[in-house]
Amino acid sequence: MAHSDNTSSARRRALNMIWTAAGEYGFEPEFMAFLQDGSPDFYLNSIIGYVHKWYDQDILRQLYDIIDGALLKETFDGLLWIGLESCAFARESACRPVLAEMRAACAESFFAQQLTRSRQQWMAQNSLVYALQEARWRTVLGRPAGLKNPWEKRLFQELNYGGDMDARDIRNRTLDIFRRYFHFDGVSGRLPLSRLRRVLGNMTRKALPVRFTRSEDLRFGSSSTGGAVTARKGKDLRPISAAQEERDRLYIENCFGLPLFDRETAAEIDETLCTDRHLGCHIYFTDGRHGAPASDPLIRKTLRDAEAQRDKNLERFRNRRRIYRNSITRLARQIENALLVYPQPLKVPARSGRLMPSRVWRALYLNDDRIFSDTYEEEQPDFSVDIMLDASASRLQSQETIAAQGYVIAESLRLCRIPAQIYSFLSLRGHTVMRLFCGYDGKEKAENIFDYFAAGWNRDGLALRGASHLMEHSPAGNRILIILTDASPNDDRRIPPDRTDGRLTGRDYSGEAGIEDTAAEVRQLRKDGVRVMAVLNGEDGAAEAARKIYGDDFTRIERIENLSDAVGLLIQRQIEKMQR
Amino acid sequence: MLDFLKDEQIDPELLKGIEDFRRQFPPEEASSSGAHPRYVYYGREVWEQALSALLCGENLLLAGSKATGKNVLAENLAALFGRPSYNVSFHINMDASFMIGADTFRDRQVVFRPGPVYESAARGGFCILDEINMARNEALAVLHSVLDFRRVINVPGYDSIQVHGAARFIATMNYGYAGTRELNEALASRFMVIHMPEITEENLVKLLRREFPAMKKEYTQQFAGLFTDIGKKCKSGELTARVLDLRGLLDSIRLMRRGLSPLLALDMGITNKTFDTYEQSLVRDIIASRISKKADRHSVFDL
Ligand SMILES: Nc1ncnc2c1ncn2[C@@H]1O[C@H](COP(=O)(O)OP(=O)(O)O)[C@@H](O)[C@H]1O
Ligand SMILES: [Mg+2]
Repeated sequence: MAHSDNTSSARRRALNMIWTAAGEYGFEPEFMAFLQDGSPDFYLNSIIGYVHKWYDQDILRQLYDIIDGALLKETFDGLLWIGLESCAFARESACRPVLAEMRAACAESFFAQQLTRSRQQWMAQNSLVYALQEARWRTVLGRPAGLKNPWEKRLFQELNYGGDMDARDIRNRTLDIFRRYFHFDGVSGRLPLSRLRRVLGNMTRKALPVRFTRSEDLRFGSSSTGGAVTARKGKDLRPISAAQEERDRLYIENCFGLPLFDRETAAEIDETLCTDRHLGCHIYFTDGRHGAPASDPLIRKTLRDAEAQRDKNLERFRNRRRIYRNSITRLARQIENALLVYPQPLKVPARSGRLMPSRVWRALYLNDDRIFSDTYEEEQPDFSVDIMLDASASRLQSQETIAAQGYVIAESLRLCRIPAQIYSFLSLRGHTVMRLFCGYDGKEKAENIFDYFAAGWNRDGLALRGASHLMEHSPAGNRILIILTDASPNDDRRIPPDRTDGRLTGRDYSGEAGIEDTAAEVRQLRKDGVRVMAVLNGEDGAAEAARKIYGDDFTRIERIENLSDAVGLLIQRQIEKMQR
Repeated sequence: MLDFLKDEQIDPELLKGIEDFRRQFPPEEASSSGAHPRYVYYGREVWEQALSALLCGENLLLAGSKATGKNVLAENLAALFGRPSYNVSFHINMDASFMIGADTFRDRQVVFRPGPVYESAARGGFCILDEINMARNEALAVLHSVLDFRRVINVPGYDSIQVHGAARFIATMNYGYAGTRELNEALASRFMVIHMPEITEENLVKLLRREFPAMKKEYTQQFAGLFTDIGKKCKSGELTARVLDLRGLLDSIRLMRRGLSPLLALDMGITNKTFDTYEQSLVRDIIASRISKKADRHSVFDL
């Protein structure tokens, strides 16, 4: 209750900032701006007000409406406001000396908040707008814009709208930019649909940490009446959300790689895994292979970024090759030592022998005909290890290290001939993306792990279901799952209302609700015989959440550099347990 | 004073009327004729309304919220017409004897000591009945015959006197905050009423220039804008009128001149007039959009 009070008073305050600046009252602005903690952004709301004051609203509203119907709505909104900030500032600062100072303060706070988690999520989700905003704020602080890509540089230049432009100029120039840079034709045949969307609200209820928010999104984001959620189940919304979902799926496919399963199988998996608390979400498995290059500039940029990250990951590894080599041997030895006291026959996949039902799928989908087991009477482990790496944006600062550590783990397990799968998980636009780097059979090169990159949110509970699905094919009798986590499940898709549970309204997938959900999934996995453990690397206070989720089966590391050691320790513990 | 009104482009007919009045009722003391009031009232329309009414011999009721210049205007009018002014502050325990006068001992004798209403009626002064709506109706009844066409004062036990031809009664009345009340109809009908508007931004700039000649021009503009911003917010119902306080703004600026940081000064003079934290945050947002956090006395004034 207190929360919704806060939200509405923050909204009211934001409105007042806008009205003060506009010098006019009672109109409902199309946009409002909020900081990541939910408080109104003083400078940007003032700018929204000055835009209202200086420019013909009817003309600008046409522009807003066109954008509202566009596929790249969020990006266009972001770009438009980079332009509007520029011209409104130019006009207003002439009669308001303090404005330059307000602007600088806004720029400074932008950089001060750069390292926060939600900021990173935003950065990952709309990196183009982010890059240009960053460039704008850099120039405001008198630094070079810092853009390297010539396409971005030019776009940034063109968004420097001047104080002499009027509403008509702004509209024309903006549409021209969208046309030239994004092949956007500007005619929106889908206006009625977008209106409808406006009325029914957006399922993305957790306000993204976008500085400018369309007011209607926020309104729905802050109301906790179940209206929007039930509306989604209504028939009316189906066609729209189906189209939107198809777009989202394509986006995911283009950014992360082709799906592991064909459409029908994928739909089936969705149907079995994305139920109850994850209803309306999707799970997407990929091994990172890409299809034909996409033409969408945003996707191209994402891919460029991913590639750059891969280079960075590799460079980090090469620079410290010796250290990592040592880690690999050390970890392998540690596991081997533990194994010496764990004699078990190893089932080795073979092209003939005893049929292993759990591997049949590989013949069907992966063209791998080693679906039989050859039994060696060797002292070998009968367990497999799954390593699931958090790849949400909270990991942006440590991608290189995680990749290198993942490589160390994969290599040592391979040396020990322990079947291991390594994958990362993140969630974006309602899709929990499971990126498979190496499978149990060791067919894939461990180097794949250098493809690791972070973005978006983490819906831990659904990812655990995904892991459980991937583990069904384990060749071993014992399955170990180790998760790199910050014990802070967060997703922008909410948990739908659950009437059987007496919950008539949905909840954000975060905080207690996220922890509860993840804990429930961990319990389920354990019931199914999976040994679930976690390596915790997160903020202070995460230990409590980790305890709720994993019980005692986690180990905390301060530095991500200790990941492989921690994994070694956990595996060793499990080996000892299995022996008993 | 007359020159000021000329600058303010007041109807010359009215100015001529004032001159005629002063010829008809020459100011008693030389000093009061050239009186330079501490403040001047800005607002052409109100000036013209007030002058016309007074020249026609009417009494004036200036109604408006606090700090709209009611007293300033009343004092200005007295000075302009060259009449002595008498001030009566009304309150709940006010009674007739306080206005008219009461018996008192002087030199071991019972004598009548005239009150301000009696004095101005006798000497042709301008009597300012400040916050007239604060008194009880019974107490006000004695004013009826003074204010209407009879223009007489009945002093019980003494002769009644006729009100001097130059005497005028200017009442003020606050509304807009708790504790104020409507003036009863009988009394209201004996006045010409002016609803005092909030000062315009343009006039506020003039006022600030006159009050604070050392203030930098851009700041004059920002302070005036600040007051307008708050005014609009009150009008639209986003803020209560407590924080719309020109007196508070002027006092704050005086503190700034003494060296207090502008933001702290404005907190004391304006923001803290409300005790609601949400309202305070709205006011601070307005201030922040006008006045730099880093501003100090030297950025505001050329000292
Ligand atoms: N229209 C105006 N012209 C000049 N000064 C004004 C005006 N309105 C308010 N003020 C200023 O506001 C302050 C309060 O004025 P005052 O006459 O005491 O208010 P009131 O009697 O209405 O409460 C004074 O300093 C005065 O100079
Ligand atoms: Mg995260």
